[in-house]
Parts: sequence; C-alpha cells; structure tokens
Amino acid sequence: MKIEILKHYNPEDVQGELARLAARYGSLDGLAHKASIGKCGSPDVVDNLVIWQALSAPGTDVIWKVSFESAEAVAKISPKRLELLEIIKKARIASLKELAAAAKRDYKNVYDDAVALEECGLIVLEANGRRMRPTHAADEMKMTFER
Amino acid sequence: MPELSVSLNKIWIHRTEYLKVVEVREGSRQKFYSYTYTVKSRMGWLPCVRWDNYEQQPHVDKYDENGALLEQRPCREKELAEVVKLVKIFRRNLSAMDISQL
Repeated sequence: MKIEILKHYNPEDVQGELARLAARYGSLDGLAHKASIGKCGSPDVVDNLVIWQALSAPGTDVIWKVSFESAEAVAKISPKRLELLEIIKKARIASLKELAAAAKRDYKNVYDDAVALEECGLIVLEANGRRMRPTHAADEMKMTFER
Repeated sequence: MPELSVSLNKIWIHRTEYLKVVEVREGSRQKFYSYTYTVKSRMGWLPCVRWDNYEQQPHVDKYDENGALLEQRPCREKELAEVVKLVKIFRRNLSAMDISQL
C-alpha cells in the first residue's frame, strides 16, 4: 500500500518558500558560498541551494509530495490529523489557537498533532510573533495498492 | 528554454525513517537529484546515506551516528525507484554496508 499526499505550489507558495530560504540563509550568494565550503557535509545546504536557484527562475513548476510506503508509516496520519489538514486547507488559519477552536478540540492536543504534521512534512508552522501559523496543506491524496 | 520543474518528496519508510527527495528537471532532462535516507536518533533526525549528483558528479555519501560525513564514493547515476527499493530492503543496515555496494 502506498499513500501520497500532494500539493502543487502556486505563486504565493513559491514566494513563501523563497522568503523562508532568505530568512534562514540571508542571500543566495551566501548560501552558494556555504555550499562550496560544506558541500556534502551538510546535505540540507546543497538541497536548499539547488531549490533556491530553481525557484528563482520564472515559471518553475513545483510539486511537493509526502508518501507513506508502509502501513506502519501511515499510522503517522490519524483521522484527527487529517481533519486538521482539511481545516487548514479550507480556511486561512492564523494560529494554532484558532485551529483548535475551528476543530473544537483541546489546544494541547491540536498543538501536538500540528507538530507531528510538520514533522511528517504535511504542514509548515510559520512563526508569527508568539503565534505559530499553520500553512501549506495538501491539495490531494492518492492511495495505491501495489501488486 | 525548457521550463524547470522541482519535485520535493518525503517518503516515509517507517515511523522513524524517511527518504528526502529533491529532483530538478529541465524539460525531460533530470538536472539534479538528491535522495537522503534519514533516520531518527537520540540527537534528532540525521542523514544516514545520501545519493546525489551535485555539480554533475554522481556520488554516495555515508554519515556517522552523529550525522557527520564519514565516507564518499563516486557511483553511477541513480533513479528514485532504485533507491527506494534499496532503502526498503536494507533500511538501517545501509549504515553498516560497504559504500561501494551502494
């Protein structure tokens, strides 16, 4: 069994990703310098450099996927977590408190689920002052039973 | 000039293991790939084995239990399906395998 959760980036997502990279590394040149020194010692640096360069080109198409290759791994996405993904997709949620209110659930449990969803790669928690804003929910979900 | 496409993929092999995938295509040509088998340890999520073709030099990297680069070898170009198969079969044993076999 394989489950894939997909998102096609829109221009706003691309700008958001570029802003996150700029906040983390400063400039593309700075990151390129860092990659030339560190190279394979820091895999994230090389990956983020390549991603930044590609996203800087106009019209780059970006697809973001999270796949689960085993039933054991699928257990990371419970029905309650899927419900949170749906709420984030439908409404522009400004904070985890707002997400908990929309889901009619306890804040602590929603916080734990949001952190788990971020670890899965299914959402991004953007720091907004003292608040955490959940963004980036997927567009579609595919389930395949392999022969 | 053909348009670029980027594919970012996190493939969960197990609750504590995933393969991080970055692929950049220019038209139908694969320009860049990186496949990083990442595992959860006491120190958090750390790379274990990574295949990539950065600067057109396909190679495989092996990392130690602290996530520091241990060994690097050139290898032939890899495809995602091949790497997923390898990772699903050997999983954490990859770290103990001879890097030239990868």
